[in-house]
Amino acid sequence: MIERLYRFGKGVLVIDLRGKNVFRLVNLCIKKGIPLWNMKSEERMQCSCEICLNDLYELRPLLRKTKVRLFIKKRIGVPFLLHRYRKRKVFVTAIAVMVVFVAFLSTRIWRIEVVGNSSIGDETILAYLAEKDIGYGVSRNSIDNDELELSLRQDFSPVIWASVYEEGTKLVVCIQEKIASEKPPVSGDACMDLVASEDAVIASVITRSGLANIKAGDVVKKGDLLVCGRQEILDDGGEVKEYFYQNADADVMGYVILDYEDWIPEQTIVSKNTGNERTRYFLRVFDYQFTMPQFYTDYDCFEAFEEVHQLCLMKSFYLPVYVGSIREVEQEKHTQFINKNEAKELALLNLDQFLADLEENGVLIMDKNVMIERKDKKYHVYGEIKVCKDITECTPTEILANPMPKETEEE
Amino acid sequence: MKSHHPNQKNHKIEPEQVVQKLELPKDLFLGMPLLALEGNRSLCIENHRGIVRYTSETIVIASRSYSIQIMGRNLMIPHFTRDIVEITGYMESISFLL
Repeated sequence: MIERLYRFGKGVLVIDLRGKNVFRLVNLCIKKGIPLWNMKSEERMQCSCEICLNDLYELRPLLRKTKVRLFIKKRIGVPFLLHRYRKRKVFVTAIAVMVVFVAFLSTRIWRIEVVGNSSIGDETILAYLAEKDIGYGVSRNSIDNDELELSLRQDFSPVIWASVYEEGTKLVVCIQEKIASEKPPVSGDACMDLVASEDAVIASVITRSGLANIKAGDVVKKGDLLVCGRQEILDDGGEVKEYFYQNADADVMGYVILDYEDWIPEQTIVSKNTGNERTRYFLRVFDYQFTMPQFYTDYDCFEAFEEVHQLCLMKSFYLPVYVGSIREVEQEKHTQFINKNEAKELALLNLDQFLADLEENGVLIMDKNVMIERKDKKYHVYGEIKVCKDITECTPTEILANPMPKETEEE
Repeated sequence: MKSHHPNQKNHKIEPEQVVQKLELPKDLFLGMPLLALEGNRSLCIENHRGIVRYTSETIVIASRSYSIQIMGRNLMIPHFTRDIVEITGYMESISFLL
């Protein structure tokens, strides 16, 4: 391939040799170091082959010596292209500049993709990369992938694995996050108690370790001790000999009353599509944007949707060229008054959404009591929702000193 | 007229025997051609002495002590240098002309 490109650069001639001593000429050429290739013989005393343009001049004395006639059948290569397009210098130069420019662009990063993140947003990662001078247009060679992987793991605590690699002009940052545990990790040897996180009536208690202070049906207030991590070890006399500490672990479910409140204004501004819309196209190169000129007057009120596509040659050769469209949808706004029934429907929708969010977080809905009333040109929705949820919260156990052993009467 | 004694031994040593005894490469020391075949589609000959005859059905390549004749169809020479000649096409027979 490289040899073919080299020959294309130097210029190649497809020649036809005719004469009695064709093969003598061929052998002489090889002896003199003139390379010939793609040799074909279709007739007797005839041979066609390819030769470099520069070697043609060295062939002349050999042709005279062997009395072979040479015919040029085809000219291939850069020298002939330059000759052909000598009157279109600007066009050829523009193509050459384009090739050089694309070659330059291929050495830079024009797209950054973050894969595998869930709790850390793309914007956070991109801002972090920008702090490290890694952004759009940065040279591919200046990025130290190993160092970046290490710093990602060190600077973002949820990241347990990171991989950074380039695909064409695209930089892929692949990370894996650890699954966050619901309860905070117990630090060192510190012993923990479980206390109530809010006022509740205990629904059920399942103790795995520790001493439960409550039973189903008990009423607890926020901060009350539910499960104690400290246990007393009694001696034969029924007195405390020493304390045994362990982390309290239990599932304590409690009935909790949640207050619910929502305000629905009597009059709302509603946007409605008129059905008129128009699209404008744009081309963005680096930071410069060329938008199609606008031939009509602006809409008074409209919503705009932008769609952008980055230009990509082949599979992963992204370029800093973006093509897109802006769709403007005309809207008209009008004030809408809603009656109590409509307000009820809206309130019900909001309440359902609120309950769905609670259920998504593992909360069980037991009962709901919500009312609606008109107040100051607004509908006030209020009420109580009885739910069953985990009410435990960890706090460090109070460490008590072991009681001193009593001296025996005999002593 | 010179006459050899019946008991006199012939001491002329053939170079081929020496190369064989010393286990030397024959292509280097005797200039024997090396032929590398890929099925019947491609043949590469090293240590050649040039082309003797060439048509699309027959190619005769000269070597130091004999010629190699390749017969077939659509025979082509895509690569031809001082050391190597490569022949492609549908080869039907290869014979050595002494």
